[in-house]
Amino acid sequence: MTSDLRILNDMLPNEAADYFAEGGDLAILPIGSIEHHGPHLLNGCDGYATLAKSREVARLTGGVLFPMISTSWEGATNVYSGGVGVREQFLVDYLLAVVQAVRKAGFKRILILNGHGGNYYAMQTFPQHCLRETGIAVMTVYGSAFCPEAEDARTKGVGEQGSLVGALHMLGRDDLIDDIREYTRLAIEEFGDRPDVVVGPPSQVAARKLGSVGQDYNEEIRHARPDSTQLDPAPGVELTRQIAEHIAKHLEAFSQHIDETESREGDA
Amino acid sequence: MRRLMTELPSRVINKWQVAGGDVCILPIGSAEVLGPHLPIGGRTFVAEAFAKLLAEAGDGLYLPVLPLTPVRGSAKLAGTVDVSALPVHRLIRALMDDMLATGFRRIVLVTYLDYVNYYLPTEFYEDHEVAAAGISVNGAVHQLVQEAGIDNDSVVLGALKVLGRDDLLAKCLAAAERWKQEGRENAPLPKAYETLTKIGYPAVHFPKGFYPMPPAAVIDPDAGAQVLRDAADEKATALEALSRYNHYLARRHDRGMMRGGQFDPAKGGAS
Repeated sequence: MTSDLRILNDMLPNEAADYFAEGGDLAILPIGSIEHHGPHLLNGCDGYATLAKSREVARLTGGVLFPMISTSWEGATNVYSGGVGVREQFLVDYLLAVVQAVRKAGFKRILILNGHGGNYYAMQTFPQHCLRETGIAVMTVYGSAFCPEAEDARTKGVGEQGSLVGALHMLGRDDLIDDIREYTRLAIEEFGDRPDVVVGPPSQVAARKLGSVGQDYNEEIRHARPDSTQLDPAPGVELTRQIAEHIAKHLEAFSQHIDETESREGDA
Repeated sequence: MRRLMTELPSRVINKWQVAGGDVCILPIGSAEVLGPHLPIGGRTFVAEAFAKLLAEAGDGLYLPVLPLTPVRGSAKLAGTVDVSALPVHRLIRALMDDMLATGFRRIVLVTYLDYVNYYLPTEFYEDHEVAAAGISVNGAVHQLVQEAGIDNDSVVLGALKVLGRDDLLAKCLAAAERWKQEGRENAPLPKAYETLTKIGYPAVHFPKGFYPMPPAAVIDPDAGAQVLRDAADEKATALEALSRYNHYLARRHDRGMMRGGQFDPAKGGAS
């Protein structure tokens, strides 16, 4: 732990006590996943990106960075090796218990940062579910947190690969970036550089016009395609920092929102 | 080969599985106050270090630590996060089912939680007839800790060495030194509680100033790291037996091994 970054697992008991004594009340809880991300990216892709972002938010806000919950629902990537996850219901039940424990531990503001697409809808509904069941008003944030600069960066080609290598650099894991460079080189040899992706067999594409339909990613490169232009960490680092600043800026309203929400009386 | 599942792409894992790799280890930690000189994530670090060493010794892969779980006694101490048990049990069990579904056959939990260590592998077996294993960290290191002449705080600090967390180790050792120089002592447990522990298991909130692992007279992170290595090597041998046992279970035609009240060697005696 450095002086400006509080990591729960690295704190000594007296540091935790001091944090609360000084009025600290912000818990930052990252959620990742373990699932296939193409032939060239790591199964922990979402988690590394979320962890780097969460560290930045913790640094900017003085909040305490919690250890990551690394296993989520994986959905369409189950046909590929090394993905381990749970049905969404189990994650939600666990998260509900964690939130109650975190509040009991003394944290008023609980910020959940999710970087896994499979949790997208669950994390939209979780705050209301949590408020209904426990009376605790948490905040969930997905991906780029509606950050305009991030949307701009995405259009300029900083995708999952670029975000991952940026995150790994921020986490001091350049050794893993070296691995990704080699995996990407091999994947480009096999699939080409930024190859076109067939979304699914024609029947699947047609069935999906109904709406949400059970599926596997039928192409190994569908989740993320190899891209030689996304091996430089710098754009991903910049993007991650922009998103973190965007989140931190808006968190100033969080405490007031909790007070208002948790104390609101009904008309009945 | 890297052993942490998140550090590998699916292709590398697939190649390893096709070549026979089937060990998946889930370390289970906690966030709790242990000692004035120990990090809140102490048990998370031990579980991770043990899983890493076991994976290396037994040609396995390991998952990131499940970091937030129930604790015993320290819930009211600043820094502890005490999570309700049942959702944790259900999550771990669901993870075990998914490990099986994705091709792992030797599923191993590394945990301080006795309930998890015992019931989940047993119930998993009842449902799947695949023998998973629960390793109690305390049980795995107990004898070795005694033989090394150290206490469990050295094991926590040894885990930091295994994980290359020298920065955090230095902070912990400095805190232990301060504690000793200031002549501080661990607060006593309530007498009523201590009395009841002589006959069973009373619930408790530890009082402020009490630490379950105060700084020991001898703090030796190197010895703690060696204990973890030795324990992992010992368990790696048993991992080989778990493979043989699961082959045996797969060949067995039903679960009943008794015939007329007698053990039937034709159905289960071998290996």
